[in-house]
Amino acid sequence: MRIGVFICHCGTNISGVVDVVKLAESISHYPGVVISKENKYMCSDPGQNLIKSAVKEYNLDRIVVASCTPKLHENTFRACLEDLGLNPYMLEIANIREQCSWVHSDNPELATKKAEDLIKMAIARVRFAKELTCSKVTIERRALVIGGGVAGIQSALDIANAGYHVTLVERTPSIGGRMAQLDKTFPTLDCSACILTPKMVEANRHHLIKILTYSEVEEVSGFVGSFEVTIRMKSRSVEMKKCTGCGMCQSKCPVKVDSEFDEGLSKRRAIYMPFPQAVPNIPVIDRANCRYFLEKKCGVCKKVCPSDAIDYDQEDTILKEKFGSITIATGFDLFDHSAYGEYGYGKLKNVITSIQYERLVNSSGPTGGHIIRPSDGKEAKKVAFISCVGSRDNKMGKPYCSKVCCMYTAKHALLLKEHVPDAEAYIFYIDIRAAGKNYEEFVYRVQENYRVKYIRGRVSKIFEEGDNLIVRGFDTLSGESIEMEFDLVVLAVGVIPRKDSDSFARMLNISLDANHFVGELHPKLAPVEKNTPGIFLSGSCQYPRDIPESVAMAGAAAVKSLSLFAKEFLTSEPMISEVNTSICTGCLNCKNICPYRAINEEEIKDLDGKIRIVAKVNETICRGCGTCVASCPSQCINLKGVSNEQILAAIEAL
Amino acid sequence: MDINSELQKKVYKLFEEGTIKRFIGYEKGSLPYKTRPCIITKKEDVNRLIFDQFCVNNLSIYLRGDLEKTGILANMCTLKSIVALLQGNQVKPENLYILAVNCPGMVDPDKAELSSLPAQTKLMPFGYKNLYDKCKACHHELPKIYQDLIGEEISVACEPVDEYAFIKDMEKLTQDERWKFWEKQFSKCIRCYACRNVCPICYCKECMVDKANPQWVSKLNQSSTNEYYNLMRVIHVMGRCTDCGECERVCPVKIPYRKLIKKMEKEIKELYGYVPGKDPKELPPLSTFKEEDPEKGIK
Repeated sequence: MRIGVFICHCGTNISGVVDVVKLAESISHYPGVVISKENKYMCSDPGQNLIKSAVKEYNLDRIVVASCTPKLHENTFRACLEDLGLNPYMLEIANIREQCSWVHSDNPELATKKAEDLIKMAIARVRFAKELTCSKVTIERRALVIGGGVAGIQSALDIANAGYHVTLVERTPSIGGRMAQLDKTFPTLDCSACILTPKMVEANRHHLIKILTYSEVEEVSGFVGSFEVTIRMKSRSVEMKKCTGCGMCQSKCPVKVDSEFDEGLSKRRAIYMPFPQAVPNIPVIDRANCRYFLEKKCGVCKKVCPSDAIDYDQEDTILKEKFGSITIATGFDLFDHSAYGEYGYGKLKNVITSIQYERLVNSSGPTGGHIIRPSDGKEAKKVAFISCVGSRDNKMGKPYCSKVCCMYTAKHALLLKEHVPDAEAYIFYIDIRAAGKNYEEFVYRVQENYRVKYIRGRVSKIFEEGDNLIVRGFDTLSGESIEMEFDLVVLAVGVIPRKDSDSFARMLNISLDANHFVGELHPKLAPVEKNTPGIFLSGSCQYPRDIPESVAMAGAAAVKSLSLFAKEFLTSEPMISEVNTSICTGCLNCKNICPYRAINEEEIKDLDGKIRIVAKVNETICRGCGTCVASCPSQCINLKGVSNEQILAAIEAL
Repeated sequence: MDINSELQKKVYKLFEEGTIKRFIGYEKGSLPYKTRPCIITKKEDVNRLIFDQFCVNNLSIYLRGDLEKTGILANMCTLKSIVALLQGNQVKPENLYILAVNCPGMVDPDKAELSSLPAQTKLMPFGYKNLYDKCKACHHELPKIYQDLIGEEISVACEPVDEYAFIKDMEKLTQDERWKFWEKQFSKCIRCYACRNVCPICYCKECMVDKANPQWVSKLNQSSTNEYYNLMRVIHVMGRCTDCGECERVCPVKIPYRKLIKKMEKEIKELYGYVPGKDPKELPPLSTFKEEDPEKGIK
């Protein structure tokens, strides 16, 4: 065993506190250590060359680098060993920067002693280091995109345009998502539907994209390159192959219920398409409200359907398919403002949400684009827009900024002025956050050209007086309290995670962040990746995103899938757990506790011919977290590269 | 019909029907107040089987390994241990026929006046005061995993005992006092490993104390390694131990293991609301991951 120790100064980061030269000298006498050297920057080319020449000169077979955290340069030094033809796992890092010099700058003498201890422990560990190799895994070159909003559609298009099959799963009867509900988009005021529907149609016509609407992902197992996914296609009660989308059924259906698409501002039928441009252009029967399913009467849609497409006996279809990657684009929900007592607990008729306003101003919306009050149908002439409803409010458990409300509120006020030129618009805000290309200019235009009045301050109460609403608040700029009468109040409700995000995360076995959005691998350097390899994020499931950001994320997530598919095969992580089957009792504690579901049971034949059950680690799923090692009552699981032997040896070296 | 003939009749029938190939029960020992476990493989031998208030051994320990159609006479403690074995996939339920017995509690020979022993066949000739401590606190609710049941139903007529009373007394001591107490107890240990060998849930193929590579615990019989061994063993069975009390019973130097084991049981109960040995479908809290686990950090 020939060990080389290489100690880094890290400029003065380490050597400013730890006596590196003395350390190198004392370590060189340690048993098994052939050579011990120090250098200004071990990670630099000269530093690495020093390691390389020392390995050649002294015929070293394993090395210890005492430097910064292994998170930063472990891979650098592993590559260095690989260049030399050594196994890259014959390396141990002693972290003498974060764990020593940075935290003990007040006591250099003891810090030097501690650094020596840390290096001694690393030497003890590297003695038991074993050569580890990666195994190869094949890739299923098909992508699953969950969520058919603009982020999901764009991801699917980007992957399909590169030549790979994509399945796009959408929960509602049509793709399009939130963007389909919007009127104009800030700051350019393009019509939302006009720019979205071509994409929807393109996705629908793409020969590599399979769109499954009215479907939900039910179960996900497997791992990167080979996810096994169960998708439930809910029964539409309409045969997709026969239906021509003529719409006869929905015009004759006698049942009327609130339209989800119009946010309750209009009625839809029990058999319905959510909106005219729906893709696919095929209705579904909402069985919870359909008279045929409730009372076994009616059956009008079946009678009027010219192509005999109605099938009341249709059952849910379960699809089981394999995918190489999964892109999550599940989008967001909106904050329920009835939690706010000061805004009338959601009971005041003329207090509406921003998404309802989007439907009101939309020319294909329930009012044909007329901004009228829900209470009496009169045109709104004086409208208050209140921002940060369910955003930036710790009381409501929503400490974060929803990011899009400042901009859409400015847009709403502008649209009011465009639709009703003599109307007055007031915006109550805390701060105006308009960081984005042309965003600040847009807000300025709204203020200057459209004379929208911005009042800085929170609203303390909204109440009805006669037909109108009284808004009471405090203008923090003038320092005066205000009370004004309005026809209509629009609440800029915050963006919240999908209400079922917890169960969704459990199904995919992924983590959520503190606000229950889907957490990313790294907030800066891996914003569209998950800690589970092969799962990528797109759009507002990760954090409130506007359209350009969602589309950019969609492209980024698609590229991650594509770079996965471009590989010939995947290599598995070698530092994973392994079961010593000879002493495994098969209690399967490890299986129950594994956060990645990487452990399964396996039958083996003992030497005496008896068959027994033991635990088996799936090498491609295991991430080497070590939970199973700690939970195993018989200590029969070991983590390769961080084995029990190595840990005990390190403790003994102390 | 007394319990012995009921037992023998039932086991005879099981053999005759071919339901079982062997039966694990108790037979009379060499002393009047002793019984010993026995394994019967022929129906002709069933008259050896008995059940009285000295049947204290936990028979579940004989269920290890590859079983072929085995019947077992299960008193309360054996039954609870079988639950733990089922949870740890150590026995196949399809190969097991459990004949449960309404257990009246076992007599502690240290407490009873055995010289005046009656030639008894009926159960419960001994007063409540002569029972093992664990039996005094027994709730007599048999886990519903058995196929058949013998013996009269036990009416818990005795005064209820707080099963953690002696733990609460220990908790009143300071940390120093407790450590001194245990130091003294563990210094008696001779490392005979009887406690380990008798434990029904010590089913590891290779025990931590026997391992040499890496060596987790030194084989030297000295106070520090004895402390390490004993505490490690208790933590090892934490959340799975059903308090059959066998370790304490077999200890030749009388280390009061139940004082440690009950403390662990109490902690688990307070933390997770879990009591071992009740339902084989409910897994021990330290072997599972649940949404409502108190550790928020691991969600």
